Amino acid sequence: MEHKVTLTIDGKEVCVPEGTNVLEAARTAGIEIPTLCYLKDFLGFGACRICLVEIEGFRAPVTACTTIAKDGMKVTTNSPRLQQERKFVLDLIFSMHPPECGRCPKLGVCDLRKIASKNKVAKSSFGYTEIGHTVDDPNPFIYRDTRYCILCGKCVRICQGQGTSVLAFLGRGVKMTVSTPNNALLKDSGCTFCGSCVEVCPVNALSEKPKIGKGRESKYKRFECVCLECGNACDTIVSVYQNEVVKVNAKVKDDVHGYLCAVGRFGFTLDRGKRITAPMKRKGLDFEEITWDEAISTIAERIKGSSMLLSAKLLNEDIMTAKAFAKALQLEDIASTVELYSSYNAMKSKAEIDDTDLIIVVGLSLSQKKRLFPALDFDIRRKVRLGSKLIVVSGEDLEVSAVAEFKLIGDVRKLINELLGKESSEDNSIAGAKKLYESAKSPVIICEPSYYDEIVCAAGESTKLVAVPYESNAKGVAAVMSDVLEDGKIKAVVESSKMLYVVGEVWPNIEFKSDFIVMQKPYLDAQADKADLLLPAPTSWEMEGSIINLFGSLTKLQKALAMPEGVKTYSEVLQEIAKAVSVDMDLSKDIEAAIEIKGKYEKTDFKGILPLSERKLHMDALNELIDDTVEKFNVLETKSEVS
Amino acid sequence: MTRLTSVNDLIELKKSLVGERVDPDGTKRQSLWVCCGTACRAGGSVELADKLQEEAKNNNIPVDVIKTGCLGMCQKGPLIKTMPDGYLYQKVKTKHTAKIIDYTAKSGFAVRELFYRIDDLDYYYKRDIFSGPKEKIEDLPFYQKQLRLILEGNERVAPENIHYYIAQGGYEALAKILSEKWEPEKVIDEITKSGLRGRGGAGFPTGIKWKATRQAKGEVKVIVANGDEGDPGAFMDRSIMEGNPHCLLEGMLIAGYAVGANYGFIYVRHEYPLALKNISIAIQQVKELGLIGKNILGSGFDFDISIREGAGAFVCGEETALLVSIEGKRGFPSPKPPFPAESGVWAFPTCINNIETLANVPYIVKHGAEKFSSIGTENSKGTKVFALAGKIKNTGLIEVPMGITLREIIYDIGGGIKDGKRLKAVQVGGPSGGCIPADLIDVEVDFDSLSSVGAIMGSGGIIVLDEDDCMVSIAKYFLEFIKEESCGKCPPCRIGSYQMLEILTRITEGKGEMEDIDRLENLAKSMQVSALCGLGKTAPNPVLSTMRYFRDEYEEHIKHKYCRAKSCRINTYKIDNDECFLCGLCKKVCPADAVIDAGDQYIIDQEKCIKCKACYDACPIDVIKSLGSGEETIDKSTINLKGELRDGA
Repeated sequence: MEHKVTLTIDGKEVCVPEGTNVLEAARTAGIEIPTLCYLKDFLGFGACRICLVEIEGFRAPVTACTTIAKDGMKVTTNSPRLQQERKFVLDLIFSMHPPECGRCPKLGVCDLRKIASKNKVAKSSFGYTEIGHTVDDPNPFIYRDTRYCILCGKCVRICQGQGTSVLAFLGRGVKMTVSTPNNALLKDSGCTFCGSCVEVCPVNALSEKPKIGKGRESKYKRFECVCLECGNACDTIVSVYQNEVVKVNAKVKDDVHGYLCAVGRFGFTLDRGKRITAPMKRKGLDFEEITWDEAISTIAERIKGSSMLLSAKLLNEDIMTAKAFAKALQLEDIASTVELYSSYNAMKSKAEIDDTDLIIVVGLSLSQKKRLFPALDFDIRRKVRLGSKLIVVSGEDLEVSAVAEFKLIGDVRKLINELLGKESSEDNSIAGAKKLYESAKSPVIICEPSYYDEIVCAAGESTKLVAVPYESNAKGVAAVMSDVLEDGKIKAVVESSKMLYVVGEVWPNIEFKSDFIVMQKPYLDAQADKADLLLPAPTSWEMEGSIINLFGSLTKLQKALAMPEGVKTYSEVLQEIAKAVSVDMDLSKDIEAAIEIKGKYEKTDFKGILPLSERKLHMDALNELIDDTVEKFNVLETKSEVS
Repeated sequence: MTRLTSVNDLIELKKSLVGERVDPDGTKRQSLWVCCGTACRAGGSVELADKLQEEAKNNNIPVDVIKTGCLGMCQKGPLIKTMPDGYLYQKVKTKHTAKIIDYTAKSGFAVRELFYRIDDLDYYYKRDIFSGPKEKIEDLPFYQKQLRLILEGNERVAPENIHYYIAQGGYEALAKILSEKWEPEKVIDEITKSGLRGRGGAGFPTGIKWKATRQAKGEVKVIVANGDEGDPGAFMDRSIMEGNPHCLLEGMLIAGYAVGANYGFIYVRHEYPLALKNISIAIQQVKELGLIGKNILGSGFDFDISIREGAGAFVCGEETALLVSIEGKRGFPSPKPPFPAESGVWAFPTCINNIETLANVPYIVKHGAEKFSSIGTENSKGTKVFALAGKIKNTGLIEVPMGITLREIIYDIGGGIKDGKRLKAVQVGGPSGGCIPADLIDVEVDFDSLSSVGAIMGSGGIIVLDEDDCMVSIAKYFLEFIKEESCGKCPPCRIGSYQMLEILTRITEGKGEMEDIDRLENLAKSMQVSALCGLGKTAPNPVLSTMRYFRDEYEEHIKHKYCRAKSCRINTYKIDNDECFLCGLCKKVCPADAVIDAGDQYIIDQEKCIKCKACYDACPIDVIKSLGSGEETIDKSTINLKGELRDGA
């Protein structure tokens, strides 16, 4: 049982778990103590001095964020004396913060302005002294302006806390700034451009470059979406201004900012090739635009007995349509890209890491630097910071092992049996890890799909275990379609010489042998070159629906943008084809029922088609794209400087 | 060195040492104790000692030349104390070495020309008309009023050789605890009874701190010695670390035993190379002797000490900042609670004490709490080491019993103000302290009395100010220091000190407004409440205390553009033509060519005048007057025309 303490805040009695700070305790009571530097889940920093409260028995006011609630405490959050001190601190902060809020792009979403307005501070009585400058940092993503910086240290703490450790304080007194080691450019300092620092910045000191010149943030329309780029499937907030995506943020859950990597946050600025807006037919080496009718009838001619490959990035709704489509047309050769790396069984695994006290990572390559499940890496570090333990079982040394209690490097299959199973080991660290595992209350194992069967055999079926997919909705595919799909069928599908209908963006290096390939995808990229007929498709923010994320829970996507003219959704196209061949589809709208995980665990021993080393391929392509963008930006900047 | 495995071994070692190899009392062998503290080193004392050694060897005279820590009277260095005669030689140069060897070392005669003499006639006539040269330490007025419990070690110990420390009774306090099998609680009780308060500034009772750490939950506990002495003009801790490092180590061992800690860190600033060197040597030696490490003196008590070198940030003297600095992170202070006693270095319960506090511990254990608490006042026991600096004749390191008055320190020990000037104020406690005006110098020096007059004991810097010191500039000087040294974490300190400095600069430049005084006061008071750490909370003290006692100086600067100390360049200079005898010196020295020769008189062109005071200093008959802007506006009851102080101020 968790211990609870009861305290009184502004006359209200509050009961909170032991160890909660006064600021959080007040929040549970619905009292908002203003703060500029507090980051939830981190130790209180106590720097901004805005959250000062009076506590009976304490000589001087103390910062609410650093004071741990104790039984019987009597807290006052808004006495005249505190208001005076808050005004004083704001007065000082504003004396070194650009005074013209009207010109600031952050107006309306600026924490400093909000608190200042509440305390009726408009500008400083000391006048304005300009300290700091716009940082000349040629990169396409993050804009730094230390004039606005109030040195709350949020960016530094989040950067260090997530293990990137690029930002740090430099200098002392008023000359103190947030900077990189040796004042290096971000791209030279190991920055991954995840933008977590931008996310937490309360003022305009850090901002996203792509949104510069695109209106004021408070005018943006915000939509809840999901980044579909990798298996991590992070929840995002997409900001749209004048029918254009201008900014992507991580979703804030219980006051905690999530993590987005550069691909998720700035991916919308990347050049991924020309957008396909109309069906296109191969003509020699090039494509030629055709009408939808022509395209549909071409497909309808060949659809009988053809094969179909589904991307695991499709939404549940599209997958359901595809399933109905395949059933109606009695398509035999149907496969999904999930089979490249996992059995469908493994993809039915489901667990949450919220309440765990021990996380075991097995065989999974996690890396923020290489953007391999970077958000998972971040989440694990966060859990460790909050007191969970971590054991890493891996064939290679991972970045996240830095915070692990035990890191076991070697033959993963052997280690699984030694750690989770009955085999014993001479090795001290394995013995120690095993002891930790056995004493843990609710351990959660996060694994590479290949090791799923081994782990279930070693640790038992009741273990909380989650296999991590490489594509965003692999778990949705498994849930909706596993009765239709068969492990390993993909080999036959891509090697068949009949017409192949590829729905959605698939793994970059698949070799197709079919003589007629139809692809439906949004961009005209290298892979699209293999197609004989191209159909346009919506991007992730033009779709509405749901996916099942890596932990096995249903996540909804809002439609942030309208599709360009001429583009049809995956479902629409499938329905039109069905109509063209006059087949009736049995379409069910009940997603909840469709995605319910059915069947009991069966050992399949299917480990996926791709070798482990090739499973990072699609992220490699995106990483390259990011690096290219950063590199190209430099060239552009330098060129403009020279001229 | 053989490892000592029991208390008996230590006693045996001491017996074998005394008189044979080392002779701290100087009863058996001729010895020359050459002060090798930092100040005397700068005066060439190391070369001096080497030369003495060489000279003695060449002449085949058996004499021990011993390099000691700071003997205190830095003004008169390099100093040499001779034993067994007990002479004190001052301002010794290498040219004197032959004589010293020939006279003193060989035959026990004194080199009289090196004795200390009271060279000030004023002092001489008033007090000590028949005094000749002072031969021995105890005859010197500088030492007479001192009570040297801690610094005594500096006179009797060679810091680089543990044998001296052991021979004069070192590590006996530890041995006493271990052999008599004191309960840790008994040690804490003894310290509590002694009334020892932290010497780092705030004066927190050491016994209570130790008890809190002892009672804190946790298997691993840590002792930290705070040697990050960053106040301008303070060098007490440095002198202890340099001159008597074993005393500190013994204090840490006892503290470790009492609170149940097995690890100790000494945090020394990088700017103290000699302290770092001497402590490392000391640690090496106690390790070899087995006085730190596993199973100390066979008692089962383990303790290990290592040094952490600070990078010299002033804020790292603040305990929470120091602790994270030990962890290797940026020296940012953090709010208390949690106190270090609950969660300190790497979140282990940590007892952090000042160097001087720890150096007091062996004395208390050895001589008993009662003897210690018989010294001093009701709430401040024992002695305090001060670094005496400023416009005073004898600067240096002094140790006085608590309760002595500032007057005694300044006039008896310090020998009064330099150059016959008048005392204006005394700045006590460094940048966090305050200025005590001349009419309050009869205040007793203890924690409570000092804070009642708006100063603090601080770590123990005393800076004496005379009539040439402008109090606004003094406040500005300290704020400049704070502004530079503020870590930057919280706005009240980072920006508050900057804004205060801006206002003070404005005032000293003659651009101030009367509202600035209120502004300063409000700023200062709010900073005291809202700043994060001790540094920020005490940063306004120099301003508040000077405003408290010298508000009229602030007002003069603003209203009359007049600085009575004439150090701010805002005064107007005028020549009194009635008395001027046209020597023309003023015109000669003026760098701005502002003095106009009008034939029968000299006139200062106020437009050209850069207020450099050169003419004023040059005038042989003082007819150049330093005035405020517009004579009429000056309240003549406050300032006489010569711009000097009111009587009694």
